[in-house]
Amino acid sequence: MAYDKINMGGAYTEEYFDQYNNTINNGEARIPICICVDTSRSMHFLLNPSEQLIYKNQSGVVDGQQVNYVEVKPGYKEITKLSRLQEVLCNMFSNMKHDDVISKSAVVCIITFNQFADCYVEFTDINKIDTYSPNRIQLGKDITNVSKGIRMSLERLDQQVAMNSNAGNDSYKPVLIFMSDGVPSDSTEADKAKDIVRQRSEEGKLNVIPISIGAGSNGEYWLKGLSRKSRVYRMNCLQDFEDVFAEIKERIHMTAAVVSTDEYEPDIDAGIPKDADSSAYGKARSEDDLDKFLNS
Amino acid sequence: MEQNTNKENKGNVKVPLIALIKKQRKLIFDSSSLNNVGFEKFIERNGKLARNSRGAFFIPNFVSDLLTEKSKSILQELVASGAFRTINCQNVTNFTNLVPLIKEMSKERGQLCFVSNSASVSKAILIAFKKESIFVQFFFLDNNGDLVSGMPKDNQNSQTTKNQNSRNDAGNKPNPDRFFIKDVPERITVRPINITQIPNRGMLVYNSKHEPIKLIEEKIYHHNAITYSTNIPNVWAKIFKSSALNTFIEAKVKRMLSHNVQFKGLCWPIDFVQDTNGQFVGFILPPAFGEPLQLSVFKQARLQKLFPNWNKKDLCDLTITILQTIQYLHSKNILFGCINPAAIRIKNKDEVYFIETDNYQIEGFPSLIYNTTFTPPEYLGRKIYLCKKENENYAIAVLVFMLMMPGKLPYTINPNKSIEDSIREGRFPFPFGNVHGNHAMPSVWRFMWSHLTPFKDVFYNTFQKGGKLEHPEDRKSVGSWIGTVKYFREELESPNDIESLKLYPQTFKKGKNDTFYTCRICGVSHPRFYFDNRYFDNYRVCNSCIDKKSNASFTCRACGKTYYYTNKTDLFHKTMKSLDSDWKDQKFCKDCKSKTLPCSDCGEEKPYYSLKDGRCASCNEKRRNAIWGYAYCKDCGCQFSVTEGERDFAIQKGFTFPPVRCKNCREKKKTNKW
Repeated sequence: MAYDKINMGGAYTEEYFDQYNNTINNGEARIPICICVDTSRSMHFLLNPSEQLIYKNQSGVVDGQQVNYVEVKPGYKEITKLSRLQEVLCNMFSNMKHDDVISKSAVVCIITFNQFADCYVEFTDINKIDTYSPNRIQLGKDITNVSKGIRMSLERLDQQVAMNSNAGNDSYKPVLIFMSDGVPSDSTEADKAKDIVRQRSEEGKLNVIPISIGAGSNGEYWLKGLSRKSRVYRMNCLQDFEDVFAEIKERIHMTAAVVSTDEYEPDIDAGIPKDADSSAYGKARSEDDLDKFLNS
Repeated sequence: MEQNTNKENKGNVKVPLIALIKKQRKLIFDSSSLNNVGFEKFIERNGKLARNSRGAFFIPNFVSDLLTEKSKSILQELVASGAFRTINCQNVTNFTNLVPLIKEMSKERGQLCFVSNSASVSKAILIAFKKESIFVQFFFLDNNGDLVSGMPKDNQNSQTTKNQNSRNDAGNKPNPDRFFIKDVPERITVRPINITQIPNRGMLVYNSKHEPIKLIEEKIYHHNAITYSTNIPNVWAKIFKSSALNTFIEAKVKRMLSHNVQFKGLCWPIDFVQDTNGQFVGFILPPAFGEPLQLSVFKQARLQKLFPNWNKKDLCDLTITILQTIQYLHSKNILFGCINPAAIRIKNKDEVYFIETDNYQIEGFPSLIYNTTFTPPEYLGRKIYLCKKENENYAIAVLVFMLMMPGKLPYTINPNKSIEDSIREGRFPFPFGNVHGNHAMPSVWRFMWSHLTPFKDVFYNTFQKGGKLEHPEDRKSVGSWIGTVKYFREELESPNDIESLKLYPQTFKKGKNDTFYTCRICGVSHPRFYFDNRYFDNYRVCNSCIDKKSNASFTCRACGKTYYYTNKTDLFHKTMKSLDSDWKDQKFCKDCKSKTLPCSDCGEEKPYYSLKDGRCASCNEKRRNAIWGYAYCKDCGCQFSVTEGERDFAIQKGFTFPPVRCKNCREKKKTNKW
């Protein structure tokens, strides 16, 4: 028997339905933010300063990278790329929750990828998200299947935009925060996925924030290809993690502070304007434009 | 050249016709109103309403003799369609003699309305009606076809096109009370003003009388200036940054100061300020307080936090406060150019501050800021322009919409098009009339819209492509919007539906004769069109609940997560299960289905849970049936084949491999044993 399965809804997790209720009850324009995190084995690399490490004079290859095996000296806490990332994500969520402007506008989802992609946190209004949910992110296999992470992220973003639009809410441009610490294992598929992301970015349908977590020059080169402006945030040392996420949070605040049709395009290199909380709104005309107009 | 053709008497308010019709008023027109240029527009906009409200519009038969040919033909059509009724009065040739007849038409106080553009006729009627103790309301038509309450001034009598042109010509003469609206830019060469040091906190600046003013504390940042509090109470100073200091801004500020502009909450320049060398650096202005509009009212969370006790009436009051300031600006021929919501600060519903006034369009000085939200479609994409009131009326319509529906945009953004193109496309997101079918969106916005009855016609026709008010010259003026908001505000004093008072209503507006049905899931009552036809009789689930979580679920066998079906899917399953006995329940979730790996044999991507020993089901089947080798039967001596599957089985069970007997002999041996 053939059934018309189109438009018959579907099956979703409890978190999805919670978000559906939030969406139709709170009509505020949303900024869908998908955080796509690499959880391959290399995210277990230590970030501790060298004076806190004991070198074991052994080396090997993990996740396609040549590594030296080390362990943390007794008395020091082990800080891995992943643990640091979890910490700053928790901080960012906490800050965003307490920001009046963002609290009901930002909707966040966390996708992790290694061999497969997993939706760790379904899209949830930031004010309803479990602040400590990033702490549950676990390391996966020794593979960086980037294409799977990207495809799932785009799929979830599309789903969220559709949900928002069906509820008659206005939407800001979706944001993809993509974090990786190495080159993809699935090179051909990863390049195809990268092209899709870049195309969306070029068409102005997606804001991409690529973040390199000590990815090295090859990894950074690949990440640069994701965004139209070929820019990449770098997180190489402990302080970088905090700075980058503080800046991302500020950019989200600035986006949410304007009507969605007047959304500005974040320029990674430009830095955050110090007079963000002001009467500045929209775009200002340049002196050249004015001169041309007055003499037209 | 002055463009203002929209003169309004101070204190007169534009009244939406629907308001009068709803209150069962009877409108009697005289020849001066019918001959007015606005009459055609009035009928164009309200013709349908007039036809539907039979018995509301009257015209005495002697009036038709005084009409122009054009007005006469329009009136004939209107009488034929039943929109206008003729008062047949024999031997009566003027309104004064008509009073006894009109008196019989309505005995209820305030029910009679007289529409005349002749001040003398209105006055004569007033006297005659007073004698008879009849209460009558007076209106006249303005040139835009809006109904304005009160009596007209003499110059509003029968404004023909010719008269209007002569008025425009008169507008070229300088008017000390207000600016001109110009369509050509000022001829200024923009040159930077070089300043050794831009004054900042703690430094002194000097006003035009060379009196010192100390800059105390930064109050407002703008991309081109900083506004400081000063040592003078209630005086702030806006100091431009060096990048923005030029001859243009200096000339603009000085032009602004050439007219007396004062209105509560309007932070208009009081005087310019100079540095120690006498160079222009900025101006002083009244202080401003409150939160930017887009961060206070346009954001639900902030609105509820800053004004927790507000209801729709308060929102109307705020809208009126804002619109009255804009009306004052328009009366002075000052235009925004582009409304900057961050420069409208809300302290409370009666206290609103308009800052950054130096960005307004003053005569040939254009606004230097630009945003997409408030730019009229005809100017989208232009970098700088000098707009007219009719262009600005679009921005005002957007502003009123975003205040009445806090923060919502009046157009649908098409994901496949740019924002500008989406706006030009003119797809208004809400229905008007009976165009809602079964697709009413499950949304707080849809409910909110249903409560905005007096606005629906105007919003729809302003924003929808092809709407009656789409063209700039047809757009509603600020006065007209004030009238509509005031009417709505008055309606909210005794609302038909208490839900109308809520800022975020939970269901549609319920009229006196409307039937609402209760949803079996949420228990909220909604109109019939908010239920899916397919499930109305048996299940009665509203559109809000149809896509919500049902109790039906399944647990994915691969990841162990529990998934719930939407009510729609659940109802579909129930229907299909009753029709199809082969219906199978879902085993795996969509996410797990998408986690694929290549089969080690055929290389095809398959869900990881379906792979066994790295192979897909069909490759495993093939492998099981593949021949491993051949052996000779111990009993019959025949050669028989041994499959890979048999080999795996023997190894798994610890049997002898390869088997010593063929399949037939094994069967025989088993049978003999028994």
